[in-house]
Amino acid sequence: MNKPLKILLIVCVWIAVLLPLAWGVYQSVLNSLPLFVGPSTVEKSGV
Amino acid sequence: MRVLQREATVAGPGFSRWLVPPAAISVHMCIGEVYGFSVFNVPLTQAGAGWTIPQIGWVYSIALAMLGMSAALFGKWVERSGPRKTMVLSCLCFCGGLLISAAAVKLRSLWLLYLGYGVIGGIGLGLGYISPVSTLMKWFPDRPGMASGMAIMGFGGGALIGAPLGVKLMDHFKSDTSVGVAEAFAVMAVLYAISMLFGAVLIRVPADSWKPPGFAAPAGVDSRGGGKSVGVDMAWRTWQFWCLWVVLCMNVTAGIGILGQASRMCSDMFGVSAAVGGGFAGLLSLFNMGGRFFWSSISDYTGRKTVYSIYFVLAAVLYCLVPWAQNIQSRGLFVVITAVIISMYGGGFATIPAYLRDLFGPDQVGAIHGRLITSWSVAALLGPSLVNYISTARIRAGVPRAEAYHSTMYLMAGLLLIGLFANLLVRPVDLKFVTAKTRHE
Repeated sequence: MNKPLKILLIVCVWIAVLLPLAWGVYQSVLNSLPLFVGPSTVEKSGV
Repeated sequence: MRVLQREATVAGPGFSRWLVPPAAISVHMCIGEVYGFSVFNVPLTQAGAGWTIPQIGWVYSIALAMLGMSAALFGKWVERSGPRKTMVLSCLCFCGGLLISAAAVKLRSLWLLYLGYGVIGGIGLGLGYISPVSTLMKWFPDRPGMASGMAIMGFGGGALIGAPLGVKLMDHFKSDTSVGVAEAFAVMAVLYAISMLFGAVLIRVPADSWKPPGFAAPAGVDSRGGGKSVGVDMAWRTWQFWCLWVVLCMNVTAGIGILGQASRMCSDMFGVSAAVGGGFAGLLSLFNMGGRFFWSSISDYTGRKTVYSIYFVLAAVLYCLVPWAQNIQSRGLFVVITAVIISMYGGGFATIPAYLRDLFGPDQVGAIHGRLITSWSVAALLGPSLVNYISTARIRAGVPRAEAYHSTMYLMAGLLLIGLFANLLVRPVDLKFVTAKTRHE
């Protein structure tokens, strides 16, 4: 296999595994948003 | 089958080692789904079988216990059989376990669910966890920390994928007669099988004589004589093994104590809503994943002992600062502190295989890693129990809910100091333990 083709194969394989990971990271960032945009006035639930 | 044998996976000349990390990640990001199992808890109680949350909770506990046990028991077999056969078996167990779980939901059999997801799926977790790690470190003798970090980062990433994927699939298949759990399990089994088999096809082991271009083994384990290492049965008789067992156990206990209770702790300490608490847990998962790659890669430059000392000292100081952050009601400071702690928790997981390799050599590092993982199983029980038990006892004693975690934080700092002590005790393994030739024995 010549070098450009080999590099292309490596890039494609990395993209194939990083895509689902990137989707997971995106979902996690979405889940984290309430932490930053949540109400700053807190509702005490303490004793 | 010959194609699954170790000999069939030896890389030919010209094979790029950069194809191996994706193979490892594609397996780890599937089995990491176990961390996201909690999204199925409530739907499983609504599946019409009358199951309760404590009963469902056992599924996760059995799976993690089987992960530790199978990694410890089958570690030698994994080293002997090679990564491809192990990855295929891991795929059969993990994805087969998901299919059995789907059947269990349809048949409303709790025991079948325990057997499928817990026992059989758990064996798949253990096999899949250790199989690609040692192979990766053999491909990257110049950067073993980064290599193990890449694979184990995939495991952390698996949680980020598994939980939302499970939720979306259940939403898709939900109907008047079904909560969609069985269908979600079945689809996930198929998707994960594709990814894990992709990894199994891609994986290669280096030829015995292979070295990265320009690499000269540093003075130490590997240079003690190409291929000479400490065998697994000898390794766990050394005190260095047990020092590392304590190191991992303390690191994981302290980290999992926060990670497992993140949402509730944030709500209790800062009085925020459950949604904000959930956001905090999501953010910690990101740092857990990133820390696995970051800290283990750093360890290639600092050395493993130094990086663990940094974890233990820095995390102990940061744990002591958590009550202060709560007292001044600084949510931002609390988030930063805990994010750094969790990144080091992930880093501790990812750096340990390279630490084992440094001490015991590369040949049976997978099997030794498998036995060390038993400390994870212990820590998984210890950490959440400590946080739960102490905070509950403090609340019952009349301490305000927001301050109930303070003593737990100091306790975690103390556990980390025990880990630091164990880490400082680590010395190179005596050459009398080195076996003449352990490879493929």
